[in-house]
Amino acid sequence: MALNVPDEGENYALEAFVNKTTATNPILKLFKTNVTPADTDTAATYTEAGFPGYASITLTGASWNAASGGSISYSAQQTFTCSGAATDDIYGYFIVSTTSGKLLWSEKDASAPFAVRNSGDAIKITPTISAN
Amino acid sequence: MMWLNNLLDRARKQRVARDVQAQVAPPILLAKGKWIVWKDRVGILYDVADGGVAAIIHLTNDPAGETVGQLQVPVGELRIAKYTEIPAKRRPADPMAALRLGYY
Repeated sequence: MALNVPDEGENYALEAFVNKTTATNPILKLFKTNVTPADTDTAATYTEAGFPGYASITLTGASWNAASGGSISYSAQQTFTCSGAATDDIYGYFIVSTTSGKLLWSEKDASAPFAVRNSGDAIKITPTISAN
Repeated sequence: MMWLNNLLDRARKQRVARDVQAQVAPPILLAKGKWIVWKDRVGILYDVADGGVAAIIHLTNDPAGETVGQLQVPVGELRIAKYTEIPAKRRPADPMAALRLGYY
């Protein structure tokens, strides 16, 4: 499934679109439970990864490429690298807004889960979102 | 007085139309990411296949709402889940919010 923008993410986007809400840097996180994204989701739906070395990544506004053809992508691939023994199975990523904590969108990888077990194991994502 | 009757008649029709409009429920469309029910089993519409006649659904458990299986079924056998059918941990706390999404 393509990425899912839940109801609260749609509302956030609408408010940012008309400047009712000031847009903030999105935060990229991995989730480690077998959850299929749905329109009712909130950030609390997802259990964030916790393997050694894991830390969520703030995606700064200036680092996005210019939108084109109804799509926008982050300028660089983001890497989550494990630094020790772990037991996480990663199913996908979710993105929340910095201040409100609203779930903006999420995506479960069709090839999931990805087992993170050892130091050096890495999950790599280039955030991209399309409006069509 | 003809003009007054016409005016009243038009106002009456508009009111009827407004009443009818208020009574008709909006169509709830199946879409990816919607909670659905297939033969009493709750899940999420994950994708469509075979030119749109087949649905790939992810069945979920309750109350966690985690995915426990995947099936491909005819789209025509799906319906939108009711509010109380959505797994407890993934059910919107506000029933009105759920209603707006078509879960009643």
